[in-house]
Amino acid sequence: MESRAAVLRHLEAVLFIADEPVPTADLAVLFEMPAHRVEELLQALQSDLEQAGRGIVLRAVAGGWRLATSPDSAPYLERFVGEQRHGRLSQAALETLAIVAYRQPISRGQLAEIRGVSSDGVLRTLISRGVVEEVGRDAGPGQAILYGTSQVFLERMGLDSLADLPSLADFMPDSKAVERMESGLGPGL
Amino acid sequence: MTYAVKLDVFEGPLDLLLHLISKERVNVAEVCIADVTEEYLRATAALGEVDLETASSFLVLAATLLELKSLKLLPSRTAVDPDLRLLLEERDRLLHRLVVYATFKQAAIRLGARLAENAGYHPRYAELPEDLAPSAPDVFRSLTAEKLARAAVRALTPPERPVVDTSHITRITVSLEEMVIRLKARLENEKLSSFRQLCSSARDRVEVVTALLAVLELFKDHAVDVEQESPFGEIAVRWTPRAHGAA
Repeated sequence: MESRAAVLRHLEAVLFIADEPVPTADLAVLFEMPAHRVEELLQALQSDLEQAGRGIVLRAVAGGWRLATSPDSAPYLERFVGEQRHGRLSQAALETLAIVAYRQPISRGQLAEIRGVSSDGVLRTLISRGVVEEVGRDAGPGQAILYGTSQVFLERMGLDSLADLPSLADFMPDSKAVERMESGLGPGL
Repeated sequence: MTYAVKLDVFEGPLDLLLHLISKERVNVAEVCIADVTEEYLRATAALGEVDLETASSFLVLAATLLELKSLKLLPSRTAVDPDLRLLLEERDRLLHRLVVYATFKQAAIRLGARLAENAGYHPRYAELPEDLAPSAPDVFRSLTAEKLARAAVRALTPPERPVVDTSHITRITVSLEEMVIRLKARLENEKLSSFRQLCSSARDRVEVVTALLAVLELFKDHAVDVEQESPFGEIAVRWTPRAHGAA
């Protein structure tokens, strides 16, 4: 049995080499210890890095654990790679992303219905950025391609799983706003 | 190109409608038809050639709005009017779509903020180093000096000719050319012989066949005449040197 300090060290090494979030369960198998024990060590490693003020942080994202650079180092990283971080997503892209995130799996037709406008272009952008991907085919006629968010999306959002998305109800217009829309559309009966 | 600049704000007809209703607190029915139409036509004009689908989606909504507006202008219509009911249903549908759209628009803002908050974390997306990649197992792990030496011996030894099992193929003991020469010599000497005699020294069936082919070859060259009096009878082979010289 390795000492706690040794396991912490090996854990750090494994996470350093991993190229995607590593689930706790995988690490538990690797180190032959119960998941809750690994979880405890991971949290210890996380707070060790944080308290030491390191340039690397440990994040629990996309269903696993992954080392990432500390956000305050970002400007130096950008200068280091000699490139401005690619621009923010457009409003259209964000809207499309939001609809895909909450309504997945969703077809392009359904997307267009909600946005009132074709979203094909922005969808391509989102796919090329890896945050949206094809997740299947509609069983109905035409077998439309269905889209969903990717693991990269969760990671970029700092979310562990889709269940951690804020509730859509939080974004519903309040009753006053709905009333205003209603009266804005003209006389009722 | 002020229209285009203005339009950049809107992400579609629903967005524009939402803007008209919520932001400017305008009752669409109260707005002059011309204003609404103009707003939509502007939007359409700026998009038109670029994106027909978007343009038509603007027009569809504009048409719906105009129809809603017409409700106001035709007060004589009553609730039992089937056209009116249809229109009201359309209005409810539109309201529903607006609410859904407004919800996602709001969610998008939150998502954007969250993405921005997390933009500073950079994980490594690099692939595994070659020696750790699953597709490239460490092939050197089990290698010993002895194995390497054996491999070197194998590599440096001239390769053996691959052996093909030819036991089922009958060996050709004499070639056709050789047989032709041999028969020519005999016939030049004996002048007349029989095929049986010519084959008397044949060691196997193949040599008999070769002899037959050689006789045919000589016959073709007019070096011999061949005669068989009856089926399966003796085949007489006669040397005809004069014709041979001409061939």
